[in-house]
Amino acid sequence: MMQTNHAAHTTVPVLELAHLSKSYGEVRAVAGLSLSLNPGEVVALLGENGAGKSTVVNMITGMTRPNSGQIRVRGKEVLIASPRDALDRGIGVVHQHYALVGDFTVAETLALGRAGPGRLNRQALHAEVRRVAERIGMQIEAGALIGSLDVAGQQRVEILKALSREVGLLVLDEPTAVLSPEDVARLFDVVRALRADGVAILMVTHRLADVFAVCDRAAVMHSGQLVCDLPVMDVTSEGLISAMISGSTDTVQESERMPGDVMPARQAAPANDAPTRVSVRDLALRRANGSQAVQGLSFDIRAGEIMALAGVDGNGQSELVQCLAGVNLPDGGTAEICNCSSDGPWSPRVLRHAGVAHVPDDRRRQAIISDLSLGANMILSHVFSRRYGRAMLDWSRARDDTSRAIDEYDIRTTGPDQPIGRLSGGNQQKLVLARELLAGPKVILAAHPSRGLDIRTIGAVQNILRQQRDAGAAILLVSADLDEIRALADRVVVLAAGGAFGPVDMAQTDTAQIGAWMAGHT
Amino acid sequence: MDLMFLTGLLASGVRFAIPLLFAALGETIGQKSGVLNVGLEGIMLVGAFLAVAFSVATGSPWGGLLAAILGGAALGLLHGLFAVRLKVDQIVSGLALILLGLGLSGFGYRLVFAGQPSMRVPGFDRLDLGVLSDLPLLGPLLFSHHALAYLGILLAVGLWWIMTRTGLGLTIRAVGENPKAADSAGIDVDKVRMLCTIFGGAMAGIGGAYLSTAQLAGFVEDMVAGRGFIAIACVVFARWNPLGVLAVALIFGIADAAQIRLQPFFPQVPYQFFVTLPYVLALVALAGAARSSNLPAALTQPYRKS
Repeated sequence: MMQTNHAAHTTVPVLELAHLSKSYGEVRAVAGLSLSLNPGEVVALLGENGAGKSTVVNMITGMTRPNSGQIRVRGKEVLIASPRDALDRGIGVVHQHYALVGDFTVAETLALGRAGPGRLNRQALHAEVRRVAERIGMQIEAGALIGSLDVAGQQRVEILKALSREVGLLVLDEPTAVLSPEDVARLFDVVRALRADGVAILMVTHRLADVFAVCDRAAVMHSGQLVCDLPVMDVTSEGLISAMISGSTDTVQESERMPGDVMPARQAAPANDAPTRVSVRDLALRRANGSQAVQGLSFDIRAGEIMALAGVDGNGQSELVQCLAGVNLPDGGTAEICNCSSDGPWSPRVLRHAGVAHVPDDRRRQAIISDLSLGANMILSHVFSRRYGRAMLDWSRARDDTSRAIDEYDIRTTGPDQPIGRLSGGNQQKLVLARELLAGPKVILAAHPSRGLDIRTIGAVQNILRQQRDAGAAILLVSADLDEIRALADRVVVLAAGGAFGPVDMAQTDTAQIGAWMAGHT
Repeated sequence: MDLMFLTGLLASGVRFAIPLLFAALGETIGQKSGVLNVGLEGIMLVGAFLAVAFSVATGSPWGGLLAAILGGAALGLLHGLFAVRLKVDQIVSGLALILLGLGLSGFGYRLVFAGQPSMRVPGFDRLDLGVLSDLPLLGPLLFSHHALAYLGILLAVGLWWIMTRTGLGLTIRAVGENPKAADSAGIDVDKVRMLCTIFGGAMAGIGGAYLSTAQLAGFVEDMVAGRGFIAIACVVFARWNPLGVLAVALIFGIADAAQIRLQPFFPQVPYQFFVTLPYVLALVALAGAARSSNLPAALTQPYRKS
């Protein structure tokens, strides 16, 4: 790994943040943060949700302005007023949510905002795409439509877009969150090529594996402050986790050890005679656009068992969960859950009545209504079970249930009447879990239950799933996170490119094999 | 059905198509930038009235046309102020525009022309292209229209070229598809949308002017009679493609001409049945094309910087 720290005294940093602070109303998002990046240096910016990472990124890229402190670009103090301003100063950013136009080609994407109003010179644009792509060893078709590219392809376009200008610093916001292990490796090749080119890279990430794979320095934020800024060779993953959750680099105390980072002993393997709760036979599913999402998929889930459904996003996971939740009918084959069959009545109402709980992956769109209170959101899944009455809603019971959930799941809120949109993602997710588990479900469909949550909440969510498993629930865990799968699953089935691998026992496979399957290799 | 009937039908179909063409082309650009203007009907009415008023005042239909363009642009600007700058719901602002246009044109007409039951409106004459216009079949079909008709066809081709081949078109499409992407590329989203909405208003103004100074010669209250809505249907049916708009506007124009010409053949059928024909066609078209993937992704969504 290239080490550039010793050169810091002689070279001028590309970016220097000095005592930056930013408050939103009463909340202090970033407090007195100082950080510098040298040319050809890859720095990881770590921290739990709400630690202030996004605010730092927003200040660097001109989305918001700091209340105090200075930003220096190549030694010169600057005021970054807008994203455009940041670009002009050589600061490129690839956001977590891409800003791309679906019906543009790659070349047109590069032209947007830079070409004049007149006729587009397509040949010159295509040549430029090839030039930039070659510089960093990236494969990309200049004439390809953005909408036809997968997530990794679109990310490459975003990187290309940033690099088509003279860029001294590239900010990557959670770049590996949605990539398959193979695409992650390819991304890291690009990062290394850029580093060799003298570009400084700030990589905001949740994943410790990224830090050790490609970064030179690790900077950890905790409640708005920088608590650790060390060369990667001087840190351990335990140290980083400790800094992220407690703000200290001392060893983590036993009581605070995250359940997710140590594999807990399985309390009891599911008995062989445990009843089968979910049975899928030769299932075929189509996407909304008519393309084949899943084909010939068969598996069973017994009571007291967690089946992981692994795979990179968009390989049919959401279609499968939607089908098993009763939203869609299969396009072929059958699904059976707790004596309900897709050949008979099959709807969310029927399946919920049979004991299915559903934790959707798109929390904001499918699981909660932001403007409604926690209590009202609690009721949503239980309207038909009449837990809260028939015609008139039993609000006091809903409030009681919600208050109990707030205590039990440690939800940070002002109370059951607060609109759920005001809560952090982790706390929203805990309420969704509390709601779904309220009636003691027999089957739990958990789609990316811990995605985007901070380490502490991930541990809590995983523990909840373990408790449910031990209580006899059959759980389908959709996840792309190998660590999570390893920590939770008894068996795993992998979806990739329309096909399915497995199911296999977790004891008889390893994460490398699962990663290979996710990438489509047998 | 003889050949004369057919040429007559097609030729008058072209004439009926032109107002739709202008309004729909302008609306295409507006919608491509993400702004829906359901108020075309009102703008066309104001355009029709202004064209008559200023043709009479200046003695030239071109003076009337200019007034209609300016009036249409002003109403487009108004829609832009509400829908783009103030982020008012685009449907609500558009509906207000319909009522405003209906009131303004009717009131203005009574104010200006009160007590003048019949007056001569200097209208557009058909171009006389000499030999070409006298050709059998092709003459009436292709070479005997108002100058505006040819301008409309040129505009359709020109706008298609701009939208698909130029940086300006790229900018407009980006603003309507993903304003955030456009913003991060340094494009002033609201400004682009404003200009497109103003352009759309001006084009609807031309459509109205054509109705009152080329197709007919004079203003009648509510004379646009739903063509503003048909124009919106044209945009959807044509999948937001200016060349498609040309084709679809012709189809609707011919349908309109057909319903008028078919009426005398079937005296036993109530004429209202025929009058509804173009609207039925619009419904069918919308039902078929509404789920098009060409729909600008950010249509009707105001852009707020986060």
